[in-house]
Amino acid sequence: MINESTVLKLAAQLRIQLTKEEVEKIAKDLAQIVEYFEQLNRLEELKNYEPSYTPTTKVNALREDEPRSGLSQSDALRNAISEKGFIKAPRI
Amino acid sequence: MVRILSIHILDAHELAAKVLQEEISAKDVVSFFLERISKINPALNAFVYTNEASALSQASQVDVRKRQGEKMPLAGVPIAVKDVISVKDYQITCGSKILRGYIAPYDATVVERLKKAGAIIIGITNTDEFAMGSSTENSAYGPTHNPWSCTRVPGGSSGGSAVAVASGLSPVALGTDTGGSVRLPAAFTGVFGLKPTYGAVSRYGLIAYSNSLEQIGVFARSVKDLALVYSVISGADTRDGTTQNFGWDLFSCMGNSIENWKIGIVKETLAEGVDVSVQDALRDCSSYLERLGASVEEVSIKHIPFSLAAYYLIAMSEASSNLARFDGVRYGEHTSFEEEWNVEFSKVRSLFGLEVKRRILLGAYSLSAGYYEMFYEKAARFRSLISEEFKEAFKQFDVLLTPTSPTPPFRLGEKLQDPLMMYLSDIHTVPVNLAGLPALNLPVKIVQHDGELLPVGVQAIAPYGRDDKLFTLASALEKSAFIKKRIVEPWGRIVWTN
Repeated sequence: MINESTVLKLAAQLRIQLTKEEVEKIAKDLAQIVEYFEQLNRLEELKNYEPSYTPTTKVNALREDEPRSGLSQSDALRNAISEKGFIKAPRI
Repeated sequence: MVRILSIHILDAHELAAKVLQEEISAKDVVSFFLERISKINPALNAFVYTNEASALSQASQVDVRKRQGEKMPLAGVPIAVKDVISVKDYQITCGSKILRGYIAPYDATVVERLKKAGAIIIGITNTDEFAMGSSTENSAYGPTHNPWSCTRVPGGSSGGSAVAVASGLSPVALGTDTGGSVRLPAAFTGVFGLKPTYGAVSRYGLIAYSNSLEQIGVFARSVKDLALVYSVISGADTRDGTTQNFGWDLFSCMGNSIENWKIGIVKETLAEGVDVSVQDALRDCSSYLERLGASVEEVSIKHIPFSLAAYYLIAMSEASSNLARFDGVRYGEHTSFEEEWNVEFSKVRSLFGLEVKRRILLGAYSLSAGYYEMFYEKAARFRSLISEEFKEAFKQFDVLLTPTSPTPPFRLGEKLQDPLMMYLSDIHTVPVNLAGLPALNLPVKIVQHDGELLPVGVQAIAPYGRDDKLFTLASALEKSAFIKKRIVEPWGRIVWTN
């Protein structure tokens, strides 16, 4: 199921550059881990349960629509390369 | 004036009392700990960053506030914070090269609350990269060492914080627990490590790894210190919609008896692969609890063995999404501006370590079309199943006990080649995160293992929202002297015990 070409495809989609050695190692590791995950497929009883995505019972935690202070522009730019108050990014 | 030669042996609550009573200044406390850290930390690599100027300035402010009559529950108390929690003006890297140089522009809610209570952020502690790991060996800033043995891991991913407390470099510390990352290092270093009920502590300012599983947790050497820090940091926060108030009075819970409590040992966690010394520690703990008037029996949580697979599927999937924000643009190591964005992002994201890359890729795989139902959704259904099984067990039992780790602390490098082997260290801790339950490592025993003295812990699990029960249980064991306090310096030198 998972082989080196899968890893290369995933890496491209996730924008992560990998070395040849990393591709080989990761392909081997992921194949082994996926095999381990497949034990969940043996549990017939799972179809009797709805998926849950959080353990909390809280839903729709809303607040009043009142403006609050956030980061100042200088704090927001502090860790970026900026020009004229904008954060600079590579060209599209 | 109290002599300041050995204040590292004091509990946080004792330090706060001395500061408020003007026996010692916050500034002296902080200077003492900064000096102790500079002497002992190099061998341990528990701290990866300190900001002396900021710490001393925080301390001076506390001294001023004290003189103005402000009652601060953590006055002058140093606290170490894991390198994934935002502390304003401190470098936060998540143990990763990709965030090298990032200076947090704001405080996490928990840090705000701690500062308001008079605590001082003494330094930032080492973590496995992005909290992904069980040994604190995956940090881009070097592994953290276990003060008990120079060849063994302190556990992870909050190894730095656990070691800071175990070796008296800070009386208390914050970590995070997504699949055991507070409880495991607590067990491996011999301290209390608490994972709160999901939603008890705000995650605002925590750099996310897996939002539905993680909680900020606490390390301490005494139950009272644990309660003190926990009461300060916990409680609803409008900036984290998953939080709520549970309204415990932890200090009065600590006085309650456990007579007639029903305690269940989870049968499936005593299976093959659990070291004899760990099984003995659990057995000793149960006998002791019986002597204190509780009844102890075995209970089955049938599907617990499948939790590891479900946990990693969910954690990796969420991680894959959460780590998409690291693109070298707004923070951390920057891209160059030569090539187009795809290439530049891919280059900068190659700075992630191997384990992080594995999890991002596998997480995306589990979420992708064609695999979603087979993997991620199945894990989400399993989450409902295991939560039900825990609920059933709690109909009969007040708390459940399991080993925290199947083995005493393992050796550095031992589990690095085979990721699955490393994942298996979490086998007893992950089910708790799936169900969002509160759990605590009880540092019950020091054992002889492979010729060394090493700590072993027992995990106590309480029902959702009943963290107070953990405090009652832990306090009963501590008061009767079954659990002792220790400070250990490299390597294995117990320099103080009660």
